[in-house]
Amino acid sequence: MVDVNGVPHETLDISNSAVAIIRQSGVNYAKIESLARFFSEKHNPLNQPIKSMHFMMQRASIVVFGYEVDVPSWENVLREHDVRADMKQLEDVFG
Amino acid sequence: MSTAQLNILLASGSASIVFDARPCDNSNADKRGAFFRHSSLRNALVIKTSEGPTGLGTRLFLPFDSSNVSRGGMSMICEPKMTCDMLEASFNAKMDHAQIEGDVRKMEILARTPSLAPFLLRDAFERAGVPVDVRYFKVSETEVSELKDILKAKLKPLAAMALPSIGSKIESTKLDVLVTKLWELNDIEFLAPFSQALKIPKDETIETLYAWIGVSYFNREFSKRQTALRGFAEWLVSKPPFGPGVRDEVLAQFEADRKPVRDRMRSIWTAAGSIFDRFNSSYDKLIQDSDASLFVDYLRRVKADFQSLGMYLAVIEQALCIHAAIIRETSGNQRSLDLLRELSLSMRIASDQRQAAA
Repeated sequence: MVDVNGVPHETLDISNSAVAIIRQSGVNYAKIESLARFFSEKHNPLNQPIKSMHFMMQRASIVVFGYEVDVPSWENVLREHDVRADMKQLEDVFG
Repeated sequence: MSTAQLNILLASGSASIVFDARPCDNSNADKRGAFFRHSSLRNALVIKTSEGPTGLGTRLFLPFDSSNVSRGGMSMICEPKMTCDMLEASFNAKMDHAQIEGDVRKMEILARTPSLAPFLLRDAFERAGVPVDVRYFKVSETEVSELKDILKAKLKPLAAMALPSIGSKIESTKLDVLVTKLWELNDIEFLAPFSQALKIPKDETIETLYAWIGVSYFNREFSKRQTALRGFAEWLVSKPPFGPGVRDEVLAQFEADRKPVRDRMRSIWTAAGSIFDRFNSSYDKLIQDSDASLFVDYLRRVKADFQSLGMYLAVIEQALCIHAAIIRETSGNQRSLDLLRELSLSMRIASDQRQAAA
């Protein structure tokens, strides 16, 4: 989940630098007024404040933001808790 | 498949290709009931093999000695659609249909599921509403629950499509309900607008969406094998394991046996990667551009992709088991060369069968 302007939002997908959330009425996504944060009841390492966040696009019921967190190994945290909705790319092991 | 290969697979304990349906006979262990009810099937093991024109077979193996499967046994092919008569024909004996009907149904599920991976199999039995003792599936409740959460999370974008658009207030619990319905795939009324929007033929909705979930699951299974496969790939091009003075023909045969294995493994690994790439690009387009066209296209082939991934996984797993057996042998000894030869031969035969079927 992501807290945006004090309202919890369901995430659809989280990459290292962008997050897609389910849009909710009454929230001004163009103006982020308070500190946004990721939060998860099940996975404590995912509970992180978001250092900066900017609106990228809005589609039907989805809003996409670019963001930054102050966690050097954030990509590993995301991978560890498998919050990415897309698939892991297979490497060319036969090279 | 040679006896040596069969024994290696049976002994490997590889849960994605071998399902052990024998009741646990260790007195200290759980007192689980028999998986198959009929006495003739009670000590069966089920193996996913890469064989036949489709490239993926499900073989029921009945060992002569249930405590030592390497002493041989008889086997029969399980089909996605089976009848009691087929079972009778395999055993060449009359059987009480009322008694074997449940077992035949179980064999169908085992044949239909493209991999014997414990989570997938347990899920397949749950969805089919066929009660079995879940202790036969080597996967803990915690793992099942975690995997379900992960796979359900991947259904969120699809659930989001069903949410009312702009301006509506959406509660996260509502999304959860939708995701759960998409996971369970048992509410036809709920699924109808989905199949319409995604242009899935009405009678194929459940199978198609189930296959989509299955492809998503397989991605994890393939990723888990990447490291082992890299080791195998390196072995396939490494310096031949012979000392000085080895005969030229031995060396030539060794290389001639390694090449088809490498070619086949490379080809299926690449094909699996392409399936996941197609899955991803159609998914990205849906999420990022709200454009379902690629996704709709992808869904048309997802059932075939699901089956193909099962076949690729079976081939990879078989090869990894054989490779593990080869490297346990003294480097370059006759048994290791024979195992490689048989693996190479089975890959060439599978390739020829596919070509003939095409």
